Amino acid sequence: MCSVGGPMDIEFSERVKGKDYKCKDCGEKFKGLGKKPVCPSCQSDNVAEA
Amino acid sequence: MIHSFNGKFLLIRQGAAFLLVAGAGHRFSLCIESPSGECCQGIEPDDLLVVSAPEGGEPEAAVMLIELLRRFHTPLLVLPKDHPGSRRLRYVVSAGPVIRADCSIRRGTHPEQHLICASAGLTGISLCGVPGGCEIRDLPTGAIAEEYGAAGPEPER
Repeated sequence: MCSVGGPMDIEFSERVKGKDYKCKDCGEKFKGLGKKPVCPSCQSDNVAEA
Repeated sequence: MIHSFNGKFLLIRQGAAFLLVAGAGHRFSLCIESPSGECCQGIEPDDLLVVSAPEGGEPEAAVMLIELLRRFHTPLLVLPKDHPGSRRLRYVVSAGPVIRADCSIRRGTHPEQHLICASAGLTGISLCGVPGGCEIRDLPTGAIAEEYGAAGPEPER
C-alpha cells in the first residue's frame, strides 16, 4: 500500500481486497492482507479464514 | 548491496528528494481504513517501512511517520478520490517485503503494496527486506545511501 502522511492518505482501489479472517484467540473478525495476517485487535497470528 | 540498519534508519537522497527506510522489527497488523471499509495487512519483522518525499521535506517528519506505524500501529486513513487535501501531503508511506520506487504513478492512486511514489531521480530503485537490513537494488547514479539518526528502541519481536 502507499499512503501519504499528514494524516496519511491513499486512494483505495477496488483491486485490493482482503480475505475474511477470524482470530482464534480473541474472536475478532477482520479483512486481512498479506501472507500472514495478524489480528488487529490482539496482534495474534493465530487466525483462520472465516 | 546489502545495508544493515544497526539501529538506524537508511536515508537515500538525490537532490531534495529522499526515501527513508526502516525495518518493521516485529510482527503487527497495519490497518487501512477506507470509505469502503477496513483491511489489515500483516507486517513481518523483516518487512520494510518506507517514507518517500518526492519534492523533498524533513527526514525527521519521515521518522515520525515510520514510528507512528511501527511503534504505535497507527492505522492508515484513506481519503476519497480527488480529495482536496491530497495536494498538501508531502510524505508517502509504503510497507511490505519488497518496495520499488516509481515516479510514473500518480501519487496516492496505486494500492499495490510493492510500489511507492518517488522523484524521477530515485525511480527504479528496489528495496528488499532482509534480516536486520535491506537489499538495495538499482541505486540510480548520483543517489546517496547513508545512515540516518537513531531508530529508537527496537520493538520487541
